[in-house]
Amino acid sequence: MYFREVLHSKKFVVTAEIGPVKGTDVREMIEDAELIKDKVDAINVTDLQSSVMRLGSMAVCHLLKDIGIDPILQMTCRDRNRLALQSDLLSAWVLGIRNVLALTGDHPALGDHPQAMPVFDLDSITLLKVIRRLNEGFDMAGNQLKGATDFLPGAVVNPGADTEASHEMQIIKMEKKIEAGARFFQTQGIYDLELFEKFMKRVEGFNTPVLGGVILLKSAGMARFMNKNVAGVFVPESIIKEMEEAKDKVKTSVSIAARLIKGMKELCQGVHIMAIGWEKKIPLVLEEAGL
Amino acid sequence: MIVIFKQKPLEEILGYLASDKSVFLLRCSGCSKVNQVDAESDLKVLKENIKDKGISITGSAIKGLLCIKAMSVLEELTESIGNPSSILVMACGLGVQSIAEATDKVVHPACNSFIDKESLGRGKREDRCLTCGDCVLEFTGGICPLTVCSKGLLNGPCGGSSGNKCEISKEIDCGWIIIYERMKKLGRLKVLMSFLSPKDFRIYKKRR
Repeated sequence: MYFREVLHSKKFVVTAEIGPVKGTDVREMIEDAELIKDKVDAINVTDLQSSVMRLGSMAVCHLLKDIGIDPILQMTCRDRNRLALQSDLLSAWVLGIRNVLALTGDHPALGDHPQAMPVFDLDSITLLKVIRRLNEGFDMAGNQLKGATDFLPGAVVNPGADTEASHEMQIIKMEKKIEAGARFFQTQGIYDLELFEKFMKRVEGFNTPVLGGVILLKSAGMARFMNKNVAGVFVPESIIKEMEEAKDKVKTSVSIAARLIKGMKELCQGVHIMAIGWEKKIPLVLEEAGL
Repeated sequence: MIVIFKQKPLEEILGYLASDKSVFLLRCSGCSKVNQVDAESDLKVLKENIKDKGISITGSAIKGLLCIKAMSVLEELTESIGNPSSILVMACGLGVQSIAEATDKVVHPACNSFIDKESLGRGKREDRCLTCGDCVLEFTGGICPLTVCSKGLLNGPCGGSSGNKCEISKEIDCGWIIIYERMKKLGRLKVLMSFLSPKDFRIYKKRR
């Protein structure tokens, strides 16, 4: 079943994420993907995440497609102007890619080529509108296409924004994204289910599926690092302590993720698992979560 | 180079004023001779057009260099401004932003800004107005998202801010949080749902 069909079935949706390698050796990445392909409904491929130069999302999506995975192309506005974005969308479509996640993108100043020119010719909302336009058979300038696309457009939202203003702006922008055509949402990593429940209550009326983000913790240090440096991620002290005192870090990490997923089953339509190099552990997590 | 401003289409301005009962008109006589030409007659025509729509005008004034003198101009005009629903500013993006910063009233921009390529510089040119030729200050509380957001995002913040600071530096405030706070104070949060179209790169050059 394709991701878009699963999304409209009653099934609890599971997506995972792969960050392309810096270089051309794709063997391990494909091995990892093979290992989880029957356990997940789709796999996101990130677009130069953290503004670090690496193998592109479109090529990796195509490789995933070849081994029978329905990929979600992540597309940011950081590196391409409106010509390149539209052209890449057409290219992705002819390569068999059917799902696109529209994002703003991190600022290049955060990455390994901080000298780069930030493009941001469009923003994520305009990009969603452009996808809708291409689906209708027209480009942004109103020219007719010879052959349209039929993408399923998605977007992101950060339920853990850390101030009242930032939280409200996230919700305003989420609503704008739906108006611009977003048909599903994937969220930043969630560790506090109570806060997430409040968020889900707020956005209930939007009637758009939300896949809650789950980031596998590798250590207490990683949790502290994220609390300090990753916007919208907050790992509570109790979970940090759990990781700190764990004899078997992998086992504890898997249990924490499984517990979060079980909680999310009651709150949203699915989960998006970000394993960040621990893709091999995803089957364990899903098993323990009863999926 | 100097910034010049040209009045927006009347329909657009009347749209901004749609929910206002009264308005005060403030025209900048500018830093450029181009901006001084027809100041009186432009203002008069606009006033009549607004009156025709049944919106009362509490007063109007023409003052120079609103970008630099916003505070003193508003102080000087306190009495004649009275208590209108809003202030409509005929000035470049700098002038509108300075007035918006200096008052708690709703400020509408009446003009779009361009660079006067023929003129040579006196007058203050800051990075706050990119002279994009399609002013959006109406929708953002008189604060320009192109210059106040590190990514120049037109439709709301990215997900990167932390503690209301920008993802690129803890020294920089998130521009969209500044806009949010301002719109909240003005009771205009609903306006943040407006979609702002991408810019025409032929008209302005991004400098980020």
